[in-house]
Amino acid sequence: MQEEKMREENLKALEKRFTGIVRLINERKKELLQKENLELEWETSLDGEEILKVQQDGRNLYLAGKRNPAAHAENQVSVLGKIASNAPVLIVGMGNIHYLEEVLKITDKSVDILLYEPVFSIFYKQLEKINVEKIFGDRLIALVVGGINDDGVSALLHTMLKDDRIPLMKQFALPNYEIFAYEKVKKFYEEILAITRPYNTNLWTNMYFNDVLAINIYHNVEYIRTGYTAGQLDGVIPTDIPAIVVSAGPSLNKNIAELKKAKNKAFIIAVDTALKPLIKAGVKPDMYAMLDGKKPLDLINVEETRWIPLVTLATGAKEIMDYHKGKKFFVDEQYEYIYQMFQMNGKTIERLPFGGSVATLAFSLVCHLGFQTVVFVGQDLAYSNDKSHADGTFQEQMEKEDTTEFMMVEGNYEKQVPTIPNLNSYREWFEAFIKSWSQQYTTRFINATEGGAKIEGTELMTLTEVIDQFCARNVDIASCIDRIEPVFSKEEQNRIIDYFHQTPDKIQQIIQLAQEGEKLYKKLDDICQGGKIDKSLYVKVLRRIKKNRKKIEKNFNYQIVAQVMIRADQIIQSSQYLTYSTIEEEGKELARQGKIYMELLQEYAKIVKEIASNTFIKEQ
Amino acid sequence: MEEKIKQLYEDINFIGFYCTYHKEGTYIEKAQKLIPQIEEFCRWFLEENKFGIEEDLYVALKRNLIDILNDCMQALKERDRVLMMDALEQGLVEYLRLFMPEECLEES
Repeated sequence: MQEEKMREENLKALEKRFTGIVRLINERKKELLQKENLELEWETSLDGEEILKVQQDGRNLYLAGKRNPAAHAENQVSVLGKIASNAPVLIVGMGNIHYLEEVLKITDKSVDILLYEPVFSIFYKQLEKINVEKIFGDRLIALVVGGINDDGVSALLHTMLKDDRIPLMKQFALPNYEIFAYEKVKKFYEEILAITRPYNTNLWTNMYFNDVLAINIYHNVEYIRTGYTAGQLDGVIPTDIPAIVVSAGPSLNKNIAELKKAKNKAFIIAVDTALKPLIKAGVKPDMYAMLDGKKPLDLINVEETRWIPLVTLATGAKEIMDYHKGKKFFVDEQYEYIYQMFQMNGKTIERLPFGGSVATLAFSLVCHLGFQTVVFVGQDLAYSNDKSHADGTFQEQMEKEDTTEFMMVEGNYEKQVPTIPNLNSYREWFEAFIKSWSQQYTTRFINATEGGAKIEGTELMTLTEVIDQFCARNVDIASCIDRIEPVFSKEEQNRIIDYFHQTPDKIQQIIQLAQEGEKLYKKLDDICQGGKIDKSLYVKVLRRIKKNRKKIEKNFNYQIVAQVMIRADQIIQSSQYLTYSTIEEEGKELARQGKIYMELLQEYAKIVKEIASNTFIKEQ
Repeated sequence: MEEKIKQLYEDINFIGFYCTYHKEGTYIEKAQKLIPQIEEFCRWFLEENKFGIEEDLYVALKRNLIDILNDCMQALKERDRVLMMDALEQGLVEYLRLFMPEECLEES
């Protein structure tokens, strides 16, 4: 009776968080319980806690230890290593709720937790004892239950495992799930692998940017110190006028002249590559976006662009930052080093989901600023007329390309248009964003590209129609932006200067720790060389290695060094999927990789230290 | 016996740490290899009260150790990783600790 009451309470709590879940549970529970055919029973552990036991095909399995149900959960979570802010954490199984509790205990609210219970019967039984309200508290936890909402697990994983969040991912499955939920657990892990595999391809892009990453970040400290955050734009520009996001797709040439009529009647934000053709057409956007670490200055170097407010990232190309003289609005990129500049001054820098392209950044910004109508112009996401960009961007007259072997997607006005995988992935990002945004807001999304690929969730209009219909009111946008004060006061800026000056010394600490780490891996290698492994020593050295890694990871500059040496990081990370026949063999391999890693870390940290030492910041 | 106890203690600690750290599902196989040593320790502990423990307490300890041993056997039969880990790490290890030198406990 008490159990039924508890379950009812828990269902109510779940309904508050996941609207509609109770209806699904009620509709499907009978069928699922029957199909899974699991017998579950409670047993009281020696410390008085109720723990679950599963019986399936005559086999009995515990889901929690009968002596200390929390012990393994503590051990499992403690060996996950540092869980970074915004990291995705995937937990398979809720047969023992201590695992979730442990993760919640050591993480902050920014961490994305997915709790996947593949077996409905276990989820349903747990509701008799756990206290959902108390355990979940004020945390956002994505809950996926087999047979209830697991058809959405793939989409959810795609959302959680985006690009640079993949290396932050932590995951584990509760013990024994590999026995009674083998197929579902296997499928879940296959899904994770499928999503993370393309990340390896993206690593090449990262490597391309890596040599400038540290240079840009340390160089741009000066601009962040004296600059602004994108969040400061919130509430400054009226949002009842439309926002027009101008990209540099080939169709931009069709309606670029029309944009003049929208000036001061819409908030016009352009991508960097669209600037030159816009200026040439007499259109000065209200803002432009730039995020590329290697963006050539040639694409924007016309005098009229210098004072246009810029939305950008700490890793943006330093040449463009130097050329640009106007207000720079920064968006958080999750670099601890940058985050500290804000935290030490009791300030924050806002994070935006920006999908990896400059157009997605500009689009995400206007949505978050609250514009009710968002209009795409030049957003082809395809090779319209067989061209990659609008004329006047990279060349006065862009050359036509052979698109016969290109992938084809549905067009806005044509049945199909040619595109390439990265443009198509941006299209998918737009669609996913619009879909999720539309669940909460009533924003109208209009595609006035007048060509290109179809973006699901947008309505098609010509730019002339948009201007006629929405651009009625005059707003002096420049003066709205002019009023914004720098994010840091003089005193706060001085604090940042001190912090910046300490950077080389802080990087030196990484070098020293890497030297210690190298010695530890050498020791591990020695332990594994003999005939019989000294297991006690092996564990001790592994623990010391773990501590050493933790200290390295705590250093605010480590993330920058790690990004610069991403290839080395990849060597290490990829090895986690390999298996070895003996502990000695694995230990030796671990030691070999560890030594390489620590050597590379020292080398790269020296380079990054040199970069930081040679970067100057203007004294007050 | 002291050396054997120390070795068993280290082995149990090792397989627990190793399988958790590497998210390995072979805990049962690794524990199975320790069964002869576990049985030897249990026989040694159960054969007589050679430690001067109060008789009632000794009887209770004996009963508990037999429970642990039974759990190990059940875990082996069912290939139950949770039960085996609990029996060894939260059960047997506590007995082994009684006979471990202080310095070894501090190190682990």
